[in-house]
Amino acid sequence: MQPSPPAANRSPLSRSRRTIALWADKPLWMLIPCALALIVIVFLPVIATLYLSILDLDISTLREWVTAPIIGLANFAAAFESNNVLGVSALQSLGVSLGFSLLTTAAVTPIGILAAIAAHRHFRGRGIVRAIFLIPYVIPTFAVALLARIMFLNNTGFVPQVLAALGLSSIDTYWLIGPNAFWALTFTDIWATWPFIYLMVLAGLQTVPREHFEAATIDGAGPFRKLFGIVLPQLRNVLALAVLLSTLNHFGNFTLAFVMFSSPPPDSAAVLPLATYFYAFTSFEYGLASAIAVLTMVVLIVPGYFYIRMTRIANRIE
Amino acid sequence: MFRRKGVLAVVTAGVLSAALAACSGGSTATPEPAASGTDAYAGRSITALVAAAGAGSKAQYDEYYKTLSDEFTKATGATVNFQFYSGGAQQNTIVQTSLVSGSGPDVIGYGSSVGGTLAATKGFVTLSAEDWKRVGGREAWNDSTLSASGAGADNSIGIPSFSVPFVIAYNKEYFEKAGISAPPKTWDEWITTAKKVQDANPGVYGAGFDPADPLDPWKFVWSYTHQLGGAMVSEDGKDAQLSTDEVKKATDFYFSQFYEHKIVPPESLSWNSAQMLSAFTSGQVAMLPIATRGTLSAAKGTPVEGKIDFAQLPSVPEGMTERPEGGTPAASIVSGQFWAVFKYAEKNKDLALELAKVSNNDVVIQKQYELLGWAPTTKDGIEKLSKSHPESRPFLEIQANMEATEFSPAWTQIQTGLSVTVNKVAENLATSGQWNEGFLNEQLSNADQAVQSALK
Amino acid sequence: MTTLQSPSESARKATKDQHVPASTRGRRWKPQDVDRMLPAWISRLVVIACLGAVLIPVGYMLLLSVTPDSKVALGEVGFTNLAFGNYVTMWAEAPLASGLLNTILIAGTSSLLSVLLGSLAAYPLARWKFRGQKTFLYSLIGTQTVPGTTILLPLFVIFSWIQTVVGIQFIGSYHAIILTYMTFGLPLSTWLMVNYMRTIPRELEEAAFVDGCTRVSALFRVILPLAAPAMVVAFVFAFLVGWNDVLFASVLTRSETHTLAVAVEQFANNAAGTGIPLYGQLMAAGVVSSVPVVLLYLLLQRRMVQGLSAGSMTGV
Repeated sequence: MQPSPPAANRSPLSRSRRTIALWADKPLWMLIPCALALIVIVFLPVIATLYLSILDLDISTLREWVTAPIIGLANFAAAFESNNVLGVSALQSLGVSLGFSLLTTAAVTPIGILAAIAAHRHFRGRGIVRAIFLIPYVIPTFAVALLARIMFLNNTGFVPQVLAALGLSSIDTYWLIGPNAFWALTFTDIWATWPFIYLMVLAGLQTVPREHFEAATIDGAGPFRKLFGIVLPQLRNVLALAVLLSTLNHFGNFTLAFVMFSSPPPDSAAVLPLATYFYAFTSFEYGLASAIAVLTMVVLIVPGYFYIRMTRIANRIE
Repeated sequence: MFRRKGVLAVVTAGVLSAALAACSGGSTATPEPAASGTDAYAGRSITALVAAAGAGSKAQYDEYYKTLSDEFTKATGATVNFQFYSGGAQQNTIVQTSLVSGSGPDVIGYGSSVGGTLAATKGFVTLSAEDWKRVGGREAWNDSTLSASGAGADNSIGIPSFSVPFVIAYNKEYFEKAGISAPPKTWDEWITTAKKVQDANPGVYGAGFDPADPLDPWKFVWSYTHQLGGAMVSEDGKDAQLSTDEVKKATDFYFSQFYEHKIVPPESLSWNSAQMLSAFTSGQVAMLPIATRGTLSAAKGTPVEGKIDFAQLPSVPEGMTERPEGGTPAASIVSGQFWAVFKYAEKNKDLALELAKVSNNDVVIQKQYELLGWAPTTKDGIEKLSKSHPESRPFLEIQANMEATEFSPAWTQIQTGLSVTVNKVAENLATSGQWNEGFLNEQLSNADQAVQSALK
Repeated sequence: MTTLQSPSESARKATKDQHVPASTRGRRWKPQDVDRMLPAWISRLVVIACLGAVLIPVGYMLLLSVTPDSKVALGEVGFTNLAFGNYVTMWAEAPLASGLLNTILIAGTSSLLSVLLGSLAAYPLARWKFRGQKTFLYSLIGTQTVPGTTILLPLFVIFSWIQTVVGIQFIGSYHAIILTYMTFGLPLSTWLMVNYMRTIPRELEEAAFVDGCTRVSALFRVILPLAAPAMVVAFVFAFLVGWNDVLFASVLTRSETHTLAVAVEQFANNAAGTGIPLYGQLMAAGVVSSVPVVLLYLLLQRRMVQGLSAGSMTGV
């Protein structure tokens, strides 16, 4: 009746010669369907993107892209110039995206942890509360964006009305254009995504053995010491992965900004996926768009790799 | 490891290119010569990419497309399937993916202003004299209409389908209260009219304003620029002209409605056309600068139902009594739909031309006007409609004053550049609360550079 | 058959059965305070604040969805003159009904396949060591960094190539979009299943192997029944991929296969493009597109917490 810890995988029995023989045959073919799908749908397009990013690919060469001339890194250079039609260089968009994804992650992490801890212990109506907490995360992004578009509207929207009633800002504050658009976007995203962290942490909390709490209680530990001394260290891995996935999701969020703002979007909310989309599909500068996409991947993969190494998310798997 | 990846990359790139070459260049079979009569077409079908229904009029669109499809089948024995796009972004996405892959719809019903962009992709069939003959001959249309069909008679890709002229819409009741008998014909009158309306109807603003809209503002700026004698690109199509005095004046005038004349609602800096329209239909503003006959259907069941009238956009710039030399009325862009055939679908060109022809036949033009208020494009059609529906005449007159937008490969950039400029100036005005001419000039010169680099 | 209990269940039982030892030290504490990590008042405050933060916008959305279109635009939102008609008229405005059915079919099929293929791949990853294993697992996370906006076009090219080679209409069909969403759901599905399978004792399969079971039947008869909680989690996450996406569906589907997301997007676009504000109806459409997923989550919520907790991410 003991809880089966992962260590059970290496029980003495499994080391016997007979069992080794039992496991000898590796069914690696089972990887094939998954790998094949990923290769066709993700990796081939990525390789194509790498190739396209060094082509002079614009409106006039697009149709015959096989013969489009190779121009090396010129697209990458162009990506950093500011005189594009949106008036936002890739560098600025990168800044917006980084700011947006780091800020939202920094906000949703404590909110999610607090909410999970508060909803962890038993109280009356806990089931309903837990369910309600998940709603923002489940409402489709496009619906959230439409709602935000109405709620943040100056003068007639709910947010400016409430802020004005509280005396915090004028009812005529513009939230959907100008520098405030960034905050409207960030706030909306925080609202829509904190339940992800909440869910992961809540799940993680189920695995903290009650004995640990008991021991700490007997030692006279208060609630905070239990939180910081026992629980958070135990949830290190859950949190590390949740934070990583959350940052990546925020960074890659195209739909929210796309639906929430009129096109073209305000500078302050011109996140990288949106800028890429505009280059690719509005001004037909596909080579440039591909270069920005490559930059995006580099920007995410390099720190992502070190992060994974550092936090040892994949440790148990290695 | 790395080397293996490299090999993989080369191999896949090769496979991709081979695939592409196979599907984009392969099918250039010359079409069968004109075989009129039902037999040649029977059992065949084409796919047409067309605009999805506008909000509030899905039933009407559905019926229009059904009429078109029925007429097409009646004329040819073939069938047409419609594929829909909603909005310019989706249209571009579908066009782009189709061109690159060499597969997709056979024919597109494009909005007039993207003609230059589509032509620049070289992905559409250039219409020959023979082709034009099959749809009734180029002489069946006015020259101004055909200017959105291609750069000159030898390079045209689009066959006109229907037209939706832009007009100003105004609230007759407010005008009467203010003792105004006629809609404004100059921009000076536009301002005085608006002020009179405001004085006579407290709480009402003279005009609608939607600088955050992706489409309306550039149409306004474009018309005003042309009235001043300017243009967005030079005549030879080589130089961007977005930071010329004319464009600056036009944009400045657009915003002066807000910061100087105060004839638009003070909260309207973040409005798009939907919000502007609802301000009009709720009676908050008295005039709309960029409207279509569709305003009538939006007004159904609102306080302004039955009180709306239309007129031509004022055509004399502020402070002038007549247009300066080179200025044109530019009452509306040549607006409406054109048919263009994808090059990869050249084998279905005969059917596509039939579809274009059918879209201008008597049944369809009557139906499209009754359902959606769209005007016909052929001289013959215009004459017939003005006879059968005399109330359409004012619109048909405005249509005669339509002017094509610059047919430039950089048109998308021009349009986006103007929209972005107006959006940003509005943002600047909203956050600083002050008019900043330097900021406008800076934005326009940015946009100008961007357009110039696309024209290279 | 206690050994066949999933690890999570046995873990829960174990803690439940344990009696709280009596206090031994001088300090008094109540049994229910044992696992308290926040003072009670903070805990309550957090719950109330979060409830408010969730319910107010959701409530406002519901309210908007029953407000006449023109009133929304004017900001006159209140409880007078509600327009429940929004929920009737919107079906005629946009192809929402067919979109809803398509989305259920597409998101449902793709997420089932995603769980199936993910489980299949997870089995060797969880049970055996082999060359390239680490690379495979890392590249699963790596896929999350790929910007969807740029793979759209190359993907379309690949699909149209498949179309030419195989000679069937692929783009616009259910197959293409299902295949795409399935693949987007695969990395997380696989990752979740690998982690979960590692918590399942090997002895169970060994018994099966001794009985002459093949790898496949061991997976399907022994492992997957035990991994059901993780499969539920993987299913729900994969389901959301298909439910939420606008970008790929807008290019890879045609009118007959348009998903709900595309239908609502077009609805919103047209409302803006033709300048007719249908905000009330748009919100009603938003509500309709949220309800099925919200219900799904609420139904599976408890199982998801179980599936996620029992080993998925938590390391030692």
